[in-house]
Amino acid sequence: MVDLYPEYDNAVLVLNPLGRIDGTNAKAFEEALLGRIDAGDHNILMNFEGINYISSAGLRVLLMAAKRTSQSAGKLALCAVQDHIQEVFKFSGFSEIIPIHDDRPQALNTF
Amino acid sequence: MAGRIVGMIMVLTLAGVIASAAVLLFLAFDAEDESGQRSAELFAESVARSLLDADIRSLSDAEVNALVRLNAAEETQDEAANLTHIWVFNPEARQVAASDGTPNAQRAEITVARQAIRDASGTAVSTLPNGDFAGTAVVRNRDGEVTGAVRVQFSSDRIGNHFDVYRTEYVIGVVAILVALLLGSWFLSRRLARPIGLMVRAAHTVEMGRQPEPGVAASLRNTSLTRDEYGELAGVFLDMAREVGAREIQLNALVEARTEELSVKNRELEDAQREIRNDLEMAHSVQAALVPSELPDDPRAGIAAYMTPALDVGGDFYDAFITDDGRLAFSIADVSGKGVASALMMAVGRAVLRSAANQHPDPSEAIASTNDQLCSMNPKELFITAFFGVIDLQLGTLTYVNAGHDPPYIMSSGGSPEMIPHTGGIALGVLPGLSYTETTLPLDPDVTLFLYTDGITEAENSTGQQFGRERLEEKLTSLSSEAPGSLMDDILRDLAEFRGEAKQFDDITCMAVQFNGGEASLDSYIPGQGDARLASGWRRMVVQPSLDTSLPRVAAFIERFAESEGFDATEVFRLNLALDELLTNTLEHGFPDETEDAEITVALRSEGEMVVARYEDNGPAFNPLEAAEQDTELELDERPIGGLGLQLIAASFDAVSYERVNDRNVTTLRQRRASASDDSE
Repeated sequence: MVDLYPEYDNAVLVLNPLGRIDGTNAKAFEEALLGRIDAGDHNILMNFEGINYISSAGLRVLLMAAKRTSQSAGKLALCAVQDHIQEVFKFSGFSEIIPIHDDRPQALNTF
Repeated sequence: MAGRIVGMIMVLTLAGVIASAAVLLFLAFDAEDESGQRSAELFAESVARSLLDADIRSLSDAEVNALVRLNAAEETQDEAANLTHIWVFNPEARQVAASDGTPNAQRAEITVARQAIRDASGTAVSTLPNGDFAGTAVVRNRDGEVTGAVRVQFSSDRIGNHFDVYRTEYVIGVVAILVALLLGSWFLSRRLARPIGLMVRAAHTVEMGRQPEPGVAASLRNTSLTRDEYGELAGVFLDMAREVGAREIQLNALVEARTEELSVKNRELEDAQREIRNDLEMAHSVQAALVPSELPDDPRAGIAAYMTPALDVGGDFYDAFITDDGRLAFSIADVSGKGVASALMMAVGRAVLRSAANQHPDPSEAIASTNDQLCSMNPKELFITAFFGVIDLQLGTLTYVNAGHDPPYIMSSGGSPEMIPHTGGIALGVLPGLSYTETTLPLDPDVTLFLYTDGITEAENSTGQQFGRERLEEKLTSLSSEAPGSLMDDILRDLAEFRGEAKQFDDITCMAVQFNGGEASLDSYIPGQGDARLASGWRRMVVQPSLDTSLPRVAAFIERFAESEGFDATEVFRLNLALDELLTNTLEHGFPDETEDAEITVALRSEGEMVVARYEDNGPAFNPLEAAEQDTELELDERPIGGLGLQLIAASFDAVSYERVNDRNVTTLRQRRASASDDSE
């Protein structure tokens, strides 16, 4: 089970995952995240401060979450992404699809 | 014994009898002699007296004969017959006349006559050499004047008639005395010797551990009743025999008891021995199972190994296995000492070294770690000399550490053996905290390594000569093109022949490793192949076909490599991501259901300013570059899910190449080092 350390800032659900998101926990990550969306949270900010590794399996989950929230007129954004992780978003073109903000206050302002 | 005594007594008796008979005969003859001389005297004087009135000078032989007859008439008939000769001499001692048949007087007879005339003495008598008797008397006239001399002579056998007459009685008497004496002495000696004979017989019986036979005992009892010394002796002997018999019985009982005790102790000892024997045999089998019975089976390397302890258990070991990252690790070692303690140390040493070899990719670190662990569990100050080597089967390099062991040999096919240079390490278990140096050698295809313990070179034959390095090298030269199995068999056969009947003093262990050449697929992508093969920069690991197991291990593998190469976090992340994506892809598409046959390896290396990663799998042909050609410009809704990872790799690395070699997918990634790219940007 992946712990997302959820908290609410006004109507925005802020999630604070830690460690790695890769093939070994992507499924659990997916269930946890999509479960939140299904439960009605359509505005989600992923605080990536504690994430030091993400593979395409993790990206895939983020992509699915981004699609779902956008379908529900919500949105998924990221903040505090470490440099080398940010590179992945850049290389994969995800940075064009999922908004990435430098820090949390800045990100929250966009909701 | 008794026979000898009887014989001796009889001989003595016989000697006595013969001596007394001789004395008797001598006395008889002596008496005869005396009487003969007396007769001669009387006869001579009688003849002289009968010539009292005769004219000597004119006396004729006839008158002398008459004189003989006259005298014969006076004497008995018998004695007259004895007279043989009569000579008559005148006062000048010249023969005047003689009886018939008388030879002329000789000088001796004349001398005696002259002597008698001159001395005018009595009658001279003598016994002649032939036993006859002679008497010479002077003749006187009535006035007493000497008118001449007369000599008479007569034979003894005729005189000894007294003896002749009683000869038979003499002989019978002597024989009778002799027989009587012999009989007497026989009875006497029998009586003396018989008890001794009985005792001798009885003593023989007692000596053989039995009581005297009843007949013998009864005779001895009878003897013991007599009051002489023999009686006493027989009594004492009978008491002694009884005593000896009693002691014999007592001793026999004692011996029997002790024998029983001894056999019980013996049985206990045998049981204990059997138990130890069983224990040792068990230990022997356990130890035999500790050295790998199945050596790594890889077409790129052939291995053969052999170990036989001098005692039931030994202190040598060898090991050969494929490490977790796919290299061939092998070792040979010799624990100081022999026997159970060394065998235990051997078991520990082998296990520790094997696990260290899997934990530490660098042989020097594996050996240092093994040393530290052994030092911490070595109460008896045992130490282990060891050679530990790792062959990168794809690159064809040998990286090794020698911890005080005899340098193994390396030889090319048809070449002569050369010692693998020592790395200067000291034996394991001596001092903790030591660092060891490793050396890397390129291995040409078809080279053979021969590892051994001193049980081979120091094996002695019956004359105390050692097998020695020279002999071993000679043998290796002639066998350098053999396969490991037959090479080793040949050397062991040679060693056995050399040793002959001599005892094996030390454990004998050896191992032959033949490198058949690396894989073509790997060779093809190493730039500057020949030189590159010398480099030991490759790190390689075998990846288990399970994401959960392998991802953390690949991450750790990359971490170790990155640490030694001084990579930054971004470079580590890229390597992680790329290998993660490739592995995930293989597991999802290459082996969706069955992963048992999956062979996946990851290799990393620095080439100057470049990082090179090589990923291989034996799944179906799949080119990740084609799959990665995905449009990253699509809008979110249009984005397909998947293919993303490969796209990420392509984006993260400067160069990605793919080839299909030997039914394997080989993906090679190259990335300029971040520190280098910083300068250029």
